[in-house]
Amino acid sequence: MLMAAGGGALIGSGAVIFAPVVAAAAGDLLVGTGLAAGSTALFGAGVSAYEASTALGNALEGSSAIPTAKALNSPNEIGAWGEQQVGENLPVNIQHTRIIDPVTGRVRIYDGNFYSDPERFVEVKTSIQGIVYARQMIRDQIATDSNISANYGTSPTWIFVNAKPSRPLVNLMQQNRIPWHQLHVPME
Amino acid sequence: MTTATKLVSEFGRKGHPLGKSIYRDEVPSLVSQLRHRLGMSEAELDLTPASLKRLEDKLFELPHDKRIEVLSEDEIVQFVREIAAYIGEVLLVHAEGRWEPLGTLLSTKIVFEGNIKITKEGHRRTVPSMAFSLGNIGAAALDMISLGRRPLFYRDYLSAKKKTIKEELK
Repeated sequence: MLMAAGGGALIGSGAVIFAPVVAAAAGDLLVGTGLAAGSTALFGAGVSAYEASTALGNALEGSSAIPTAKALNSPNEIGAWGEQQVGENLPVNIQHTRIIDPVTGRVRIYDGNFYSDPERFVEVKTSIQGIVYARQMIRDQIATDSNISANYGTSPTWIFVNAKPSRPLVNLMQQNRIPWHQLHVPME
Repeated sequence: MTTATKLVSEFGRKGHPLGKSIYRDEVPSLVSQLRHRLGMSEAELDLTPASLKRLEDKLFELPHDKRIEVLSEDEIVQFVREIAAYIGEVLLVHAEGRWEPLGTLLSTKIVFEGNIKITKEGHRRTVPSMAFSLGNIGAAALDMISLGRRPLFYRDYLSAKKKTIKEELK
């Protein structure tokens, strides 16, 4: 895994993935320039990823959101684009999977799973505004993820593509021990 | 409290034979064991979509001495395998899925392809494929029963058949 000057792990062609703690160190989101494809130790261990997430300071509060391509105007377009970026830049199999919450019987749809562990699901988040807020639907997803995590022994991981979580959402993910990361893909 | 889902996950991670993928050639044997366990005939569990409702009813009304609270860990995971195999075969045949064993029981999937309509976070979109985890369906069913909830296999079938999947978190 290569590291950018600010501490981000460089993956794929131009994309940068990093845990929030890296954003804190760099002061803003990083843009990669060059780079080797790679696997990511970052994604190999849930606990370390979580610990990295919980180390977040105040960096996200002050950082500006990264704009997404103007051509991506609808939630559908941007959702598909975000999943495509994750599939192309990270060791994630974009395969939508329907999972039943063993506690409530409710139905959750995940966007993919890690190749290294098919039982470790991935939730991809993007946003036209560049910020993902803790809306009620998001809160419901986290509540379900918490149940699934308690039963599967591994937590679903949330990946924000060219977007950042709001402070309340960060708090919610930390409270529920949801590992999360940001992926920045430079736009043309 | 240990749940069926936790056990299935642990068995898979330990590499226990019962935690491994279900392959399709195991299905006839597992279905036969399920019929025997539940005291149901071939006519009752005939691998049709309608039989899923009969299976739901039977499982929900299981006498206490057959529920997971009194079974050994091995017996619970074996029970999950039997349910998962049954549901998988119905989905495969009647909803035209593809069997995908990925190493563990929890990651044994039926995959549906071709313009799957999903509704998530209030938005509808179309995706090229959708996977149903058979181990999850089987284990969640036993966990829900132990919590006094009815499993919804027929709902799962209809969702797959119609290629319309909705995230339902309420």
